[in-house]
Amino acid sequence: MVNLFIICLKTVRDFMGMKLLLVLTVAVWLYLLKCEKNKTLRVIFVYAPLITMLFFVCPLGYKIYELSRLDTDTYYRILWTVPCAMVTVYGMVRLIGEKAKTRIIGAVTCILLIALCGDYVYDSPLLYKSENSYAIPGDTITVVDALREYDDHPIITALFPNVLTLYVRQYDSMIRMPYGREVFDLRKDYTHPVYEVFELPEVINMKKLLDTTREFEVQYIVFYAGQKTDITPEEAGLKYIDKKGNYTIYQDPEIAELIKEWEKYYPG
Amino acid sequence: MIILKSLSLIFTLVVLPALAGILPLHFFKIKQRSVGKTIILGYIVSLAILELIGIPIVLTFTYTGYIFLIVLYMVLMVFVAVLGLYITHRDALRAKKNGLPFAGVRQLVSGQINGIVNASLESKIYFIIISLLMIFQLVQAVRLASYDVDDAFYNAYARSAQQYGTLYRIDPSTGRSFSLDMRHAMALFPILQAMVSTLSGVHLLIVSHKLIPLILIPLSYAVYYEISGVIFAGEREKRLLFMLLVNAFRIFGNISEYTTETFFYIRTWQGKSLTGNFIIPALIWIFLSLRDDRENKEGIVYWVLIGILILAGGSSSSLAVLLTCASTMLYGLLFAIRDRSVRILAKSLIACIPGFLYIIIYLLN
Repeated sequence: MVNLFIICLKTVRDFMGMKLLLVLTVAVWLYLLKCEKNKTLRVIFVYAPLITMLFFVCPLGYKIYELSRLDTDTYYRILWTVPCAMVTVYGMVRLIGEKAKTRIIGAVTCILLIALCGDYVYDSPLLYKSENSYAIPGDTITVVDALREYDDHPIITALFPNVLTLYVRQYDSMIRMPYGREVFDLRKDYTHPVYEVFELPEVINMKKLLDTTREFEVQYIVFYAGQKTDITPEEAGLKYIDKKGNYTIYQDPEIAELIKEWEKYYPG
Repeated sequence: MIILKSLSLIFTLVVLPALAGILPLHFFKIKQRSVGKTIILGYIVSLAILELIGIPIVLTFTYTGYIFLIVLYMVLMVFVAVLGLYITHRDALRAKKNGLPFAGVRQLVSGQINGIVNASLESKIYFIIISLLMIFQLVQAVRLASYDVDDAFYNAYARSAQQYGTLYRIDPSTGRSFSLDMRHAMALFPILQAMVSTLSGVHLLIVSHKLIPLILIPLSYAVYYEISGVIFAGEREKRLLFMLLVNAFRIFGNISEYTTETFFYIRTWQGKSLTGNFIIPALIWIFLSLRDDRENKEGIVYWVLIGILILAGGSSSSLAVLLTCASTMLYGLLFAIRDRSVRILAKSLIACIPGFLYIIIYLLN
């Protein structure tokens, strides 16, 4: 139980980040606890958040969540039902809003407080300038289009370097891949045999790579310019198809032949 | 071609949901009606319709569910829109107004414009700053891209629906067939984006990454504006100040990767963002609007709306249903204590029935 309680507290800490914005929310909440007279607003902005928070940090709450077949990684989303923005902003307006003369000064002060305690979203490292209207790396589009130009089969299987893996099937879901986003999930120990021989070694062992990709019927392998191989892909038996920017596309003729054989029995 | 695509996008993303909002708006008092409320209600109804017809289709159609869903969804949406227009038109005729179906809406729009023109200098300052902040956020939504691993999941599901015609039966990571993914299959918001893409001919990624934020960002603020209207009824300056500070809180709300504010900007198009920034605030708006249930003759409208909202929440995620049901029960309990009335608790329980059904289907499959 103590462990669960600590997990809950850590989740609250992670949710709050290293900023003071939610401390500001707590301060405003205390003000509302003392001053708010409207019963409806008191229920929504004072009592309900308090009960939710108590439930959240209570180990029993965590246990119920776990027993409900829910992924405990998403436990923090219970905190979404605490309307932090509404509580903070409502309390602020209530505090500064009465006198017209001081309202604008109060507004400026509140904005400064929010800015100082919070974190500017557009500074996030997760946001970057969009390369195109699809909002995915442009290389994904050029490489996939090159593959499509070469092979007109509706469904093809290809292996892509990490930087493209996340985006290929968003752009064209008829391209199959041996693995997808799971390998990027650092919270889980998921891995994949093809990933292990393609992405993890400094120098790719081509024999091992082809042994594993052939198990997954990978027709095309896309190499990133920085990837080193023990022998050249051509020496390993791959056929050069095209080069697009930093990416070189190869076909595995053995699998291509296999697919042709299948097509005799399963046309189209 | 571009004009046709644009018109199609405007129709599916703005016009149709707005028209779908006219029917539920009819149940509100005239003085309570607003343009923002029409669109909010329209989206709630649209998402609920999507779930209502989408879940049975997902569960029963293995191969052709997607096309069937598009056809049925559009037929029902047009039906709701036409019904709403017809009822408004009929009421307008009865009231011996000018008889035009949009008369009420026109009055609303002109009323709101007049309100801005005749507002105090302070209100105008707030209004200008809020408008600039909104424009800034919309421009940023179009200008920026974001890195998110989950995108490879939801967008690949939506793209698979478009390209294979099957719903949640293609592994989004590898593209291979697999059994129905029940954990995600009932949350159909990504499929709605695929449908918009199919109907307009615009690539799914442009729809989800660029166009959906242009709708969801204003939609979410519209909910907050309605909330401000309930809290600060008749106090324009306070309403606008509330909106200004909400803008600031959101823009500086990226304190961790878990806040709704972070989701609002970095994963706007994902169901999780819809949950935190539209569904849950809309639930709070409805409860704030309820006020004293005993005096509120239209109370039943709000309770029905809560039920519809819970169902609509299912389109964003299964967790949204649980969260909205739990919040409904909590608010219901607290309101019941406040009013010393068990009836409110019973109403909350009844309003949660769509959510309970959703959870049962989820657990049984």
